[in-house]
Amino acid sequence: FHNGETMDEYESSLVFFVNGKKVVEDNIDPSWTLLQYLRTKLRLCGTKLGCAEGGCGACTVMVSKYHRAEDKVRHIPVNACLAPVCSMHGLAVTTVEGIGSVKTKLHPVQERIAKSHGSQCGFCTPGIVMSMYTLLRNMPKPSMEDLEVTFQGNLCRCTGYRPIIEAYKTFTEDWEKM
Amino acid sequence: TQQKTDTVGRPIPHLSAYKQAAGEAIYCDDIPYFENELYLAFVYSTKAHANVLSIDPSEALAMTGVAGFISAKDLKYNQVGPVMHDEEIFISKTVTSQGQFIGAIVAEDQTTAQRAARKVKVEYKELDPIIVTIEDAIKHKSFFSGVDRKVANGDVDEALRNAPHIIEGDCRIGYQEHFYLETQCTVAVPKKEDDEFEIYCSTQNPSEVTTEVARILGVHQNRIVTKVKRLGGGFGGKESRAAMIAVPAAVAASIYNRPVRIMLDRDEDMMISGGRHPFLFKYKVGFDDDGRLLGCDMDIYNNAGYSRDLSIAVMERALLHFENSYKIPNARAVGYVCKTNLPSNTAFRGFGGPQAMFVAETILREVAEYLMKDVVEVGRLNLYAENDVTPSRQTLTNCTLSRCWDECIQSSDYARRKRIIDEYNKENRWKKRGISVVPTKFGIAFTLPFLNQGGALVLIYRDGSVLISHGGTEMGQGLHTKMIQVASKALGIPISMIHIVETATDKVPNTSPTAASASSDLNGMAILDACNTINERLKVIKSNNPNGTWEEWINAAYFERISLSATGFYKTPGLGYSWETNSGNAFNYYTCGVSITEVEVDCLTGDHQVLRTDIVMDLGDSLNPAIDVGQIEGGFMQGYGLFVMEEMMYSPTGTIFTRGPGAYKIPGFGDIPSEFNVSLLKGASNPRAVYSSKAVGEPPLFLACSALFAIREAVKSARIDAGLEGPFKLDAPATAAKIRMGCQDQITAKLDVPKPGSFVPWN
Repeated sequence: FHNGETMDEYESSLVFFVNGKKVVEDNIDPSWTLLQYLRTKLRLCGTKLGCAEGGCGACTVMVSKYHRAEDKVRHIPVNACLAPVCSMHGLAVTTVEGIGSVKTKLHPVQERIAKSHGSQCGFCTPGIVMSMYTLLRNMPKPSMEDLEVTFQGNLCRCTGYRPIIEAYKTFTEDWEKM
Repeated sequence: TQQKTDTVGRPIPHLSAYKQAAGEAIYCDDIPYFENELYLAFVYSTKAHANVLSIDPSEALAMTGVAGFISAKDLKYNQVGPVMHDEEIFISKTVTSQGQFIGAIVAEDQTTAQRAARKVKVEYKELDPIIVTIEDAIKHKSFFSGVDRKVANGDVDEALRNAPHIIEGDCRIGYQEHFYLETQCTVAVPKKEDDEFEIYCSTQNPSEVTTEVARILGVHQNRIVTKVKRLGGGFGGKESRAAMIAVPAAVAASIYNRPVRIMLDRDEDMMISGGRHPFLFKYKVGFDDDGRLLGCDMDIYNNAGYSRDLSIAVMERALLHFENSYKIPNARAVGYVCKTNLPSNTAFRGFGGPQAMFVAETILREVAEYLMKDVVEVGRLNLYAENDVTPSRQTLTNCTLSRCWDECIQSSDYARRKRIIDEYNKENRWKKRGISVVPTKFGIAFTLPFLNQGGALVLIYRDGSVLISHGGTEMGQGLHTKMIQVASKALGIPISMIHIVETATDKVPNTSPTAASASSDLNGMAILDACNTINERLKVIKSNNPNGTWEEWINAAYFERISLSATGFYKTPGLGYSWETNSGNAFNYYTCGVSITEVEVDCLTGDHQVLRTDIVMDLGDSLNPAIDVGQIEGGFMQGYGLFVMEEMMYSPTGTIFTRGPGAYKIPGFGDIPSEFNVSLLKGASNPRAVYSSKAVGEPPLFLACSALFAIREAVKSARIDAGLEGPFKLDAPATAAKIRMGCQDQITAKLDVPKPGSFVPWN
């Protein structure tokens, strides 16, 4: 503890980070999902509700945690529609708003999917962006097989997928060799 | 040469793509909360056919945060529906499908509203019969009457009497759920004076939302402004059914005089909002020794669900497409729209066309197999040529079908690959490959002629920047991008000077739905009209200062007191098919294409892989090839879902089991063809649409049927190895179960076939 905080103040508070900012929630309903919290409390609406059963990936965010046994930080893609917000205690959540913006600078993951015509209606795009972003955080030079595995939990009804794969192929090791 | 500022024909990315990728693009439920906002949750019927005896919301009303419960009793006008008002907003007496609205809870937030809605107690008395399938409807003669639709051309009876060969058969195609990633959503905001309302809605049809809300609230349409920024997909599912959500939200907002929001959960959306019509076809077809089609007599049935909605128009389009791309000189087809106790089915990309074209491809293969001929030869023999006449008596002009066909056969290296596949199948018993060629010809225009109109409003501000509004909505198809390209070319200024904010009924009134693939044709022409009006007014200014900049001209025009706003309008000329006389043109033109798909089937599991697809599509002079190729690929994959993957499961009592992606499988990343080649036909300008382009939205979807028929070829090879020659059926969707059971062998022979009637089927 620092800044004079005591154990008591933390006892019933949920503490986690969203896009680098600390969130302290004193009165949380345990039935709340992370998606619900992001959209209705924080009004971070880039993360979408598509199915609420973990099937479509429109709600994908990155969750980072310190892994004690390995003594390192791990990044995992998470369905915010299923993750109880209470399970985020001590963790860091990154949403699509956290990695770049039109107003400042887009992240290459955002820029390439847009430029390669991989976004039509755009409702699935933030989830796909976050799946790809998380992959790159763990594996800066993935293979095409890694891409395939990464997107198993993301659905898109508009594009037919090819332009998304074309966009993200440029991040792969094979592409670098070409 | 093309001006640098002229982007028509160039692959401009979707103008919202960057915002969408950053999560900054605003969809309906992302709109900030309004002060004092309430949330709406429906109470759904749990019976398919029953009288409602009592509704008791007392337990729900006792919950903290619940503002109230509304039902039929609270409404003065309760009848709704896009064409006929044959539905109720809230059921007053009898439910005719599960998922109908018994009433709705209004509460402080979503969680409270949904929890409370589940506590409303409803007592029913169940009624007979419950009609679920098309067969049930035929048995009970349950059809929507007064809508007899048929096409007839030539002397069918004579042709069938004299035909050397006759085949009789039937085939069917199943339901499809739209699965727009963004579900139905509305925010209704009362403005608190003069009955004014602002309605934000994820709809393809803002004018209908305004019309219906005004009618139900009993106020003039000039009070109700419906606004649409963008949709997270529509595909026809938000053409008419969006109003089914918007109207109750507006009613609740009116009663409580507070803003009301609702976004359906996926299970609710799939359960109540309907989808693509299942179809059943019964046909009799006559042909000669070469396989040339001579005559065809057909009955077509579709499963409309509990209300008419757009089902009759869907049947009309089916009747105008059942021959697909093949000439049948003598043809008659009669349509029957079945009334069943299921959610009301509606528009879905293709609008009856893909279902109907499926029967033509089925017939073609049965004819070829009967004569033991190559199906590709029989297809090419029957393919429409210039000036041929369709069964609805429309003459085909600028018909590019044979060009697409020949180019696709060549570019896909069909002949060589066919030989390799035959060789592969000789050498492999439990894996089989198949390849198939499928053409398409899709009529462009609403089948209701008056809907073929578009309006635009172009405003130029003093800094030279331009704001465009038009009647079309943006649901991912890049319509706004294309419209800005059109305006940019017409005004001679870069696209960065032009902006579209939204679609709203106070900018352009009385608009047609964004549907029928026609929106860039209709709105593009309307924008061109408005831009031409402004160009005409600027002529004198430009001639006074020929080397001036756009900004200088606009500024000069302002000081000359020249109006810098104009409306534009367009109606498609020459349309008007009569169902009574089977005459007049139903369509403005046709969009054509051909696809060739190769698959590999695992005969032991029914699994398959699409190895390669080649498509050649005629889109005239494409306005934006990147967007158009995206429409072809997206359409193809949606069709792939329809024909091969997506299956809705019902119980015999009308319960929908498949209510989410867990049980209902739309294509994923791993399902796309390993090799996917799409090309646009060159040198095929279309004289009948804006800047010589063609409509693209719906036409490519049917081409995915080539995957089903390639699977059928592979299954056929497995059956021949098992000693089974002769005809067999593969209805759509060709799921793994159907493929596996089609590959009959010593394992399937061990399965007991249950006696019909000894069990209750669940689909």
